[in-house]
Amino acid sequence: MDWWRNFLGRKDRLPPDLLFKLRSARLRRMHRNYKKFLDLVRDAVEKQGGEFVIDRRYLSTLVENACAIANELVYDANVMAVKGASRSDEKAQRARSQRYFQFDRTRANFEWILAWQPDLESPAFAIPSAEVDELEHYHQVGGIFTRMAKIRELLGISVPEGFVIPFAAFHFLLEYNGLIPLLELASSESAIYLKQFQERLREVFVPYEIASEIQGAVSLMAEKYGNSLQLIMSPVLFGEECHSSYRENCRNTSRVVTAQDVVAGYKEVLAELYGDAAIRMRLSHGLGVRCDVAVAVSRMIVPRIKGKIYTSDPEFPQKGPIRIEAFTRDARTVYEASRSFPYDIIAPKGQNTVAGLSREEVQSLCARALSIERYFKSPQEIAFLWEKEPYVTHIRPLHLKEDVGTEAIASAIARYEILYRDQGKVASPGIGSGKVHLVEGQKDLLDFPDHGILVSTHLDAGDRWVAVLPKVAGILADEGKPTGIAASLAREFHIPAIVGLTDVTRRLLSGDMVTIDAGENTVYRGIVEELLDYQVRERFNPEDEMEYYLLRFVLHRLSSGSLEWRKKVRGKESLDDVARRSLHEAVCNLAEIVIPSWFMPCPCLKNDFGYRLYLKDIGRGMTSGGKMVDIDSITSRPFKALWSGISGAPLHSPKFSAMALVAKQYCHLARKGARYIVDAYQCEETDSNYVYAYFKDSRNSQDLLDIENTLGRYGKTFRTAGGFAVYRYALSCPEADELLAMIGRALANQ
Amino acid sequence: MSEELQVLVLDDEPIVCKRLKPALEKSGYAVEIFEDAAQALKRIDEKQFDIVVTDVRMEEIDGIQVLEHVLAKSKDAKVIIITGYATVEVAREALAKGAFDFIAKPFKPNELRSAIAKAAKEIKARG
Repeated sequence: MDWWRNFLGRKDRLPPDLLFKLRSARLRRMHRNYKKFLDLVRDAVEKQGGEFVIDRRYLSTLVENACAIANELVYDANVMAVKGASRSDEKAQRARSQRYFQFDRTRANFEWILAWQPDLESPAFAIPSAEVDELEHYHQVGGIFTRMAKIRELLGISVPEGFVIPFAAFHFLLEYNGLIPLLELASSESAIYLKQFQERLREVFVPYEIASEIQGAVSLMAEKYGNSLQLIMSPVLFGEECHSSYRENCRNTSRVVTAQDVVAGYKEVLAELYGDAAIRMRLSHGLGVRCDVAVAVSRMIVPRIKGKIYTSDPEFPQKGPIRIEAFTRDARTVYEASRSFPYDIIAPKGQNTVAGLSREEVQSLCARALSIERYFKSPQEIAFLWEKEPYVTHIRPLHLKEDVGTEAIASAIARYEILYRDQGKVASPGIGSGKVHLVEGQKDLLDFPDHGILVSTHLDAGDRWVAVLPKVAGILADEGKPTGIAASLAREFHIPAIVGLTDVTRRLLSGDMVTIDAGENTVYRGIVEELLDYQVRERFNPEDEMEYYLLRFVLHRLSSGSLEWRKKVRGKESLDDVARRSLHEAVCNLAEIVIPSWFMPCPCLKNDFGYRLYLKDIGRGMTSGGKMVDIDSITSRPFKALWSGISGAPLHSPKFSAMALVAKQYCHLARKGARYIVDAYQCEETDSNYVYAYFKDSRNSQDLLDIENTLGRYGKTFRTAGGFAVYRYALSCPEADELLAMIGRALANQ
Repeated sequence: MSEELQVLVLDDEPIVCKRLKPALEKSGYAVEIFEDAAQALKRIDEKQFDIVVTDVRMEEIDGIQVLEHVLAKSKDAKVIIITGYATVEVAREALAKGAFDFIAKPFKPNELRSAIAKAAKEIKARG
């Protein structure tokens, strides 16, 4: 701003009014840009449904555009932050650099995501399996572990407990021991260097940072399982898909019992991966000589029985029976069971317990196997170990032999009545069929059938549906959007879903049979077996495709709240975080000009409580001016929601004096003396609204606990810092209204 | 199914081919997919396709060259251009050179199906 001051001949200070006007104009521009950013994210979220054909170019354009907007926001925030300080002001300079640094760091995340590279800056060197999350850890531990974590978390299937030593540990180990140049030489497939590298890996020094974390993780497991603990180690390479058979062939396992054994085993596993056989296997699967390795360390299960489940027979895939090969030390039995509940055993007849599996155990395995097949939308080969309960140790898809011709599928589909085509919005891709179950309230969920089609008016109530989702084969709803919570849930559970069908609850009755082809935005009456078979053979599943996978990661880094309903990125900021913070800092900066200037002729809100609530319009937030304004003349949605809470509160603080900056979609309210600040952005057209509320010295008050409980109901997280901060985004407008009204009630008593 | 329309899809992004093949097959078209333009041109020389769907920007041979090649071989064939670099200039050039339609990525398969259905109608009308 120095040039402005020079230009105006006012080196010391601009008049507050002029300064305010200049900055509020910039803030309006920031709001416009933020809206553009949210639109971009919302548009990309809709593409996740799989209805659109997307490619890598789209992804890079999406990232470029989002970064360009965020960059402008950061730039504007920096300009706003200049305040009265000169450019030589060290503190201001540091703050400016910090903003750009955070933006650059976030942007760098996209580069390795789009380049499909591992995350070598993992904050941990031993990640507990129970904490592994696909979107957060895929680039740290690889796809196999994250998918196993998914079946554990979403389908409730037991997998062996343990921890993962991520790619970053391998990279750190190489750097620490100066092995990277040798690895580069070895990568040229020179046998001599490869041998040398392998030998060095066996003798390598494992840095304290890695060893101590391994020690900690092993100690935790030892506490739980005692001296009988045995561990098994298995590696995963970055780029290795769970569909590949690679892992099975190069697995190196060793029994280990102490942390020192794990460290030694870790070196052995790494060295083994640079052996001739492993490299040959890698090359045959299209992976390079050089590979980033993560190693899973899990509790060794000593099974009573072990085996494999094939959810379809690869040789005769006409939706044949489920096949279970079970082994004990001295017996092998092949079971065949029907694919529908109660999974009757077809073979071996009269020999139900040859290899120790009872009828109930076979049924239990079938139910688990089919839930995995439904989740991954293709027939699966599942390895299991039965200790006291069944554990799944790995899963991979079955590759079926036959193919269905064009003629068969096109004519088959033509025979079925189409109930809907292109009338709704695709929330989650895939094909699903089953019996319709109309859900109007919580009680309807109690008798939800296995493989049922959930039909409801709207599904924005979030968490209530989670309990039945593993049983759901498809979702149809009258209302809703692909960006809503229900859509996120459907995608999370890989359930085909079409929302916004307007009359599906009137058109369908409980018990009707339907087939949903969400990828085609079509609903058929009846079970279209041919379509289900076609999907299985064609194996086009957007969730398995790299571009859709990348889109999920990109969205997670763009705005995690728009995608992930339960968790927030830990330790890493999304671009939305950067953009929002820039906006917030700019507003605080603007408020600093206005709030001390209580004498400024701002309109005061008419009210019965004797509050002095001054309003400053910063962009179509009011329709009239004057000394006193009525609440009806306020157009700012967040302010109105906030005021509804303030005016509806049972008790009111006798002294209330505050200033609010209002825009149509925005409100920033600060009490004199800054005892609290509320900052909210709310736009009808997006579900990514946010609300901040900072209360000083109010921790644990009942009002704030109410807010916390409400957030909890929506599955929203929040942060506490200083006094208390509700810190959340990705709220729908009604959610934000409710939250703001609650905050308003809390304000009235402050 | 001798009346089946023969459709060739060419895009160097594998995901596009993989996504479009089932989508078009479900509508009753016989679909062949190619990620390599040279191989696609070879196939076009071998077999008569009613409709060719091609990306514009590809390495070595671009979509406009494919368009010219197809039309040089058969005036009756319809070429539909799909592109992630949708600009007025590209669209104008493609249409001026005889493309039947132009679709910008990302798109829904239904948009392509409508374009193909329109092309099919014209093909049938010409007999």
